[in-house]
Amino acid sequence: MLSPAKDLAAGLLFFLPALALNPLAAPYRPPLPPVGEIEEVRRGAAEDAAAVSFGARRLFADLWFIRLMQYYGTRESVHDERVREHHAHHHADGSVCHHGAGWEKGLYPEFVPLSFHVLHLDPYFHSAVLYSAASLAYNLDRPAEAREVLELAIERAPREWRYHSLLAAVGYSGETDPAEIVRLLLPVVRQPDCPTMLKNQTAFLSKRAGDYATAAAIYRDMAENAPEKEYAERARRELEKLETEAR
Amino acid sequence: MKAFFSPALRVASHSLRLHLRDRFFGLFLLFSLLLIYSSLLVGVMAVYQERRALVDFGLALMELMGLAFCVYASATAVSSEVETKTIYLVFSRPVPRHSYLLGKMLAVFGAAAVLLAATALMHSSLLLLRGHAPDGPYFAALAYSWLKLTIISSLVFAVSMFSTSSLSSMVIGFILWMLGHFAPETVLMAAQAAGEGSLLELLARLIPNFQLFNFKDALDVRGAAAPPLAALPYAAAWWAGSYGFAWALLRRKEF
Repeated sequence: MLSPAKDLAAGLLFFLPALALNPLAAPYRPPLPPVGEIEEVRRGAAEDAAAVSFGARRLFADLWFIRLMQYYGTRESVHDERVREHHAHHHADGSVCHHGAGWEKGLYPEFVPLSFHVLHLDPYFHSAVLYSAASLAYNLDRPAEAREVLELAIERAPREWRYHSLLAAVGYSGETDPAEIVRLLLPVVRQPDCPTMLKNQTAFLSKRAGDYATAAAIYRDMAENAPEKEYAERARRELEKLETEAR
Repeated sequence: MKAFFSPALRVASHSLRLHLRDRFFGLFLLFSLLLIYSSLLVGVMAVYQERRALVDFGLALMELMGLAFCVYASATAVSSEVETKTIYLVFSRPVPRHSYLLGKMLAVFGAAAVLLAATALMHSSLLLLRGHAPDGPYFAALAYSWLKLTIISSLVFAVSMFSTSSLSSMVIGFILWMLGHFAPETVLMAAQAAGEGSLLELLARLIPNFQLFNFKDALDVRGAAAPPLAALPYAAAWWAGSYGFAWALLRRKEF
């Protein structure tokens, strides 16, 4: 009769076929960045460990994206009330003073680290990447950081054509002709999961380029499908304006 | 062959009925349904990414609740029958130990399938209610989740044969689950710590690569999980290994 230790050793032999198949599993690793490349934000290392060890990186990418939207959706107080009052009284006509254009847009220092974090968890999260890059390029006037986000996204997911299109569009941002940017953005905007903010930006650029038909088509899509009420309402108003101008 | 499978199937169908009537199964089911329902809130917060958030939360919750149930059911399947002395009654009849073990394992696999199917039904209804029809990849992710659950169940069966308590089997089960999601890194770290070809590295290799089945983590990516022709033999090898290991220990046990 075998001793318990020998039983245990004999039992382990049954795992040999499974061990032999282990190398076959190697080529089928999901194309997600390695665990070591996930950088911690907001002391979330335990959360990241849970994301990886429970095989739920996509779920945690969703959570971090919601946090990013909440962060960016919260008004950041970068100037005190007196400066704000000064602007309300003296620059109501839209003139720019020494604070510079877009002073009230905020700095959002965590925006880029949070965007990178979502990217590290799931580089195939198109909407998050497009939202981050477009916000940086067009809302926060930080095209260099937008390019950084897109370049990392392309490094991780090289076949994502949306990233290439937006990168090209961001590259053209400094140019005076918005028609080229619109041409690059249109295929991205036509995707169902395109962030509404990017659609709005493309419609605005189309208008500037004199392409009112394209602008109207994008605004119509936003008015009908945008889940954000403010964007849908704004799109309706813009459509009405365009129709009035056309008459 | 018939003498092997016939008693195993009888044990499996009886044990499956017991699992489905078990109050813990009901609790796991109820808790899963509540969590899935509450994921609607996350969907709302994700604004235009509602579908993605709902699908991801649903799939992850279903798998985690399935994991909790499978680990619990596998760790207690044999030990509870030893404690209640039911196992004496079973072995007093012409039921070979290998058939008994196979029946018990199949019952947990079946119960996991029922749990996943019931929660998936509720989740799909919620998705439809919100205007997002579940598609092919969604059901493929569910099938891969079931494969993962069956592998961890069979491993916990194997562990429960030498472990001193059900609780320790469950803890080991959860640890294996976690390590299995970064199996290649675990092997690399073991090789770096103790040297290539060391016992630690061999032990690290005794962890199945769960990323092979983690299709729900990369639903939009082509080739993200192993095709069924590669995944099924891999899962089968782990079922067979765990079953053989458990049988090697069970056959010597004195009841």
